[in-house]
Amino acid sequence: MNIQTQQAVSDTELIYLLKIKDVTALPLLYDAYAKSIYNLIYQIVSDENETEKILEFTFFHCWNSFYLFDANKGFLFTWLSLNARNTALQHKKGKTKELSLRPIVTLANASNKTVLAQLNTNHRQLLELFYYSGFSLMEIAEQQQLAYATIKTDFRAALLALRNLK
Amino acid sequence: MDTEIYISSGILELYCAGALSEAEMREVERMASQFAAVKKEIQAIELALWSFNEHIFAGPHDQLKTELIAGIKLNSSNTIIEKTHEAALNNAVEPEVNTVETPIVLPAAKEIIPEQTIQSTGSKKKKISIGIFLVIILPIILAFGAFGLWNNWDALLQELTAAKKLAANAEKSRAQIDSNLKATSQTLDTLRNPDLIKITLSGMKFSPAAKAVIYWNKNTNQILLDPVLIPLEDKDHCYQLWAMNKGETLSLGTFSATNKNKQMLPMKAVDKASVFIISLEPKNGSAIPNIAQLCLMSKE
Repeated sequence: MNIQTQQAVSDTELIYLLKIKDVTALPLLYDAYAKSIYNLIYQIVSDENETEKILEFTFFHCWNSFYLFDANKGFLFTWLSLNARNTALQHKKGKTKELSLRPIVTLANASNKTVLAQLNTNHRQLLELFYYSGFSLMEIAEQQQLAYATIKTDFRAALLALRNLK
Repeated sequence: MDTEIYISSGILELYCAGALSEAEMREVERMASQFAAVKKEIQAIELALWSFNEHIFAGPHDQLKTELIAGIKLNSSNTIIEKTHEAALNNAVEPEVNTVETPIVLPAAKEIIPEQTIQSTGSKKKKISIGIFLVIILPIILAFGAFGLWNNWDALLQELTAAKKLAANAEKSRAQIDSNLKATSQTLDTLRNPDLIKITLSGMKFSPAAKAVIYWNKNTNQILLDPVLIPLEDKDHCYQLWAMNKGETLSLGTFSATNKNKQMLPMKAVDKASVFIISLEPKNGSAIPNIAQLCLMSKE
């Protein structure tokens, strides 16, 4: 099972439309990924206005730079979400970068608490620090005084746990 | 190759989360295009991350879709990149010549006192007449003469002051011309560099008539911005140049369009960029460009 089975249009069709710059791709792309990308950005910047601006910019960048996407090898959601995450983290950059095991405010406020409760605290914190706060796994390993390999293994376990959430 | 071992190494999760280097990412993509199992695994990880983000919050409000799509359609790129530098020579900065040479004409000195000739006569009458003339008329004539001289002296002083002012202005203008000439020579030297790439930025919907040119030295990565035609910003805003490359957007600095001499503006150096954009931002700049106020863009 993949994202495409959840969507009205396949990634292959979307990629083709984006490559030929057919504007009908825009509403389809939005329907397929805007909500997920919006929520990803919101967890990083915690501000609705900023999230909208970054989402707008991510789609704009995707539309104008799609020639960089390798249709034979790339993965559309990964490409889009990494672009959004980079922009959101860049936006957050000048603000205080606290590397600590702080409470996960954004996740705790999420609507889907029952699903999130299935993640153990370590996994949630690790995902929060890496995915939403922009720390590298090496930085997290140094901060927690753990081996890089251990953090890498834990991170994979956290993502696997995410995959198994119902 | 044992794809099971490759998959269980955790590298695919790191790929989807963006935790790999550029080279490692390309390697994973190469593996995925070669092995169906690897591709399927990446799609499963994508689904997990998508699903997690999809359900965690309510998402954007309904109107955003229409606004966002309209914004992108309005700002579709329609510009060109020219990889020659020759045309740039035509854009060389012309020195401004502010002065109009005005010939300074100083008035010739006027003859004020006519020569007087006193003729002697033998008669007493004549002596009295001459006496009257000397006592009454001559002082009057001399008084008029002195008054005329004083008036003329004042005018001469005023003209001297004006002449000094003109000379000072001429000197100032000459210094300005020297400075412009020096800047123009430097610009020409820069533009003659064969490593230079010329990139034209054209106006977007927000400012359709705007034009700017970037000269990018691929050896030194230096960027020179020529704000050919950019509308003046208000006091609360500034323009900001951005370089976009593979999802990363880098600010190359802010500038003002009130560049009276139309000089080239040195911006921050950048080694990689696929697209350059200029947006209008609040004074002191922003962390990311505001696409609602996107002014100029290069074609990728």
